[in-house]
Amino acid sequence: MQDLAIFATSATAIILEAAPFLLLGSLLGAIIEVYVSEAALLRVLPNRALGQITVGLFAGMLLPTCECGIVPVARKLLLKGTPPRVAIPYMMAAPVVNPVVIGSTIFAFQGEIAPVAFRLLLVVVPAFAMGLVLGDLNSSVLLRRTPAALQPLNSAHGHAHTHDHACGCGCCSQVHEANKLKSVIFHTTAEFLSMSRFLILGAIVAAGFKTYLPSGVLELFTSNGFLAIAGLMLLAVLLSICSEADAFVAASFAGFPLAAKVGFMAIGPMVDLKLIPMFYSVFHRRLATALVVVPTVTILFMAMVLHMTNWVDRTMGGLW
Amino acid sequence: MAATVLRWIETLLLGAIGVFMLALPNSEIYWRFLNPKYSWLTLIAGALVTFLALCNAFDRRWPKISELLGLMAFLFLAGAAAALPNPYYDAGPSSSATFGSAEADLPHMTESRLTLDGEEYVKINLAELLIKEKNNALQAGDRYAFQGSVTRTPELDGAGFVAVSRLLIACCFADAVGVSYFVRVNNPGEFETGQWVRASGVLVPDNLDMNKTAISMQGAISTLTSKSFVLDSVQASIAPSDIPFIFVVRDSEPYAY
Repeated sequence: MQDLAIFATSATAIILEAAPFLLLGSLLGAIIEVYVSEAALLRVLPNRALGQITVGLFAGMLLPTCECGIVPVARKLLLKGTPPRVAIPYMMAAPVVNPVVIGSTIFAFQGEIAPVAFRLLLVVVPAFAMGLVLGDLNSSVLLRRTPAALQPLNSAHGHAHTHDHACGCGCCSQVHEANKLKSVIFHTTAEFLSMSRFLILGAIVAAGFKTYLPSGVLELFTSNGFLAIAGLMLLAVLLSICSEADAFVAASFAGFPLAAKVGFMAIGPMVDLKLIPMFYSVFHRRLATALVVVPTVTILFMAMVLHMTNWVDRTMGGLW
Repeated sequence: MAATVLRWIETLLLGAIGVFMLALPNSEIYWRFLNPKYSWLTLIAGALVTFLALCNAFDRRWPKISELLGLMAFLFLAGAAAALPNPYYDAGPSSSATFGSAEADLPHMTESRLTLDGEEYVKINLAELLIKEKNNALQAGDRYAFQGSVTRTPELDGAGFVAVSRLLIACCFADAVGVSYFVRVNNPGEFETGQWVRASGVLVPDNLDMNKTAISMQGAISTLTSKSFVLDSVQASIAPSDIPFIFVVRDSEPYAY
């Protein structure tokens, strides 16, 4: 019964912590959907590909968003014609490359800059790679729901599917031209409800791992540097801790090399049990799989290189 | 008709969640889930969710069953978390045994220190103490007072120690980290695991040949213990604590305790 109480409290806490950020992401997405035109978005972006990717990587410094609310924003950006080389790096990097998370990481590691710097590096590299590969592909190739403009016209509204405020068809700005505020509210609600089921599912599974994982399991991974890195990365995915708090948890892993702690902090905001179902719900299967596999492999490889080359002190960093 | 019924069910569920999020920051149990410094965020989110629930009644969208199930699941979890006995604040033993000096006077307390038998002890919480140790700001002979829940193991019993532990929570219960200190006592058998204790004593070098990682706490991903010191207790008493978790960490007096 006590384990059940811990489980229920953990799951509820995860959802309560993430809900404001999911709301914010849903609201931002709705505002983009209704008020921001494609032309306006493209006006603020650089013309060159490298400049666009850079904007995507560091936009989180101006528009910090937790990973819980980033997927709806990215989807709306893509539907508005934002090049994937901007939207996808933003989605991957913003949960880490923002002032709040940078500050919390510095605080958790007692002012040491190396954990922060390596965390940013391990996040920026896979996000940059995805932006480079995706380039300016059409959103219909990336998103599961095809925008109205790419569907055959056979209805008065100009699109074939049932009108749904979360459908992402992009038509709402025309249908509700006279009442954009109402449209924002309905879009926000629909997006929040749609994403919250994945948040709740992920929170339940993460709380289950946290509650029922044997307490000594972490000790199995401390004997070997590579096992430590892979083990902590897997733990980050399973525990699905918010990016504002994971630095404190990483700092507490006594006996683990810094490369493993950095890997924990880098993979969690990009791939976790809340994000994975959201990816498969919003994006086509191949892209969703790439969003899981590419960061995992890249961060694992980079963390192991850091560990092998001893670029970081193997015993520094953290509460202990 | 079916869509209307589903939409009203969805509205009610979403409204219940909004009201729950509005009420929680104003209740006495917010700290069980989240660091109290985020209560304003939950309040704002609750107001927004409640508002969206009211508007949802007028939306013509067809609700999805999976969305309804998700909302129901959350309400069920929140209810279970509030109702089920939690080992940290519902099920602890309530004896009033003391250890250390059998007939010690009640300590004189100022905001940041307490005085026992003419000696001053700095009130500090376990996380703050461990951080000071990490920063090499501790030395043998320092006098500190802290509080936490008792953990006993056969190894510690044999050595004449108990562990005093608490959960450090940065954001929410799900990211809790355990912090623990070993305290030398006259008779570990006088204490039960889970009792809340306030210990005062002197730091002495840690000569225990013991696997400290064996100390684990329910709900904590990992537990930190001191590497260099243990507390040689002078006097303490067992008492219930209002909030068993650590939410605040300070780097100078007055410590959060």
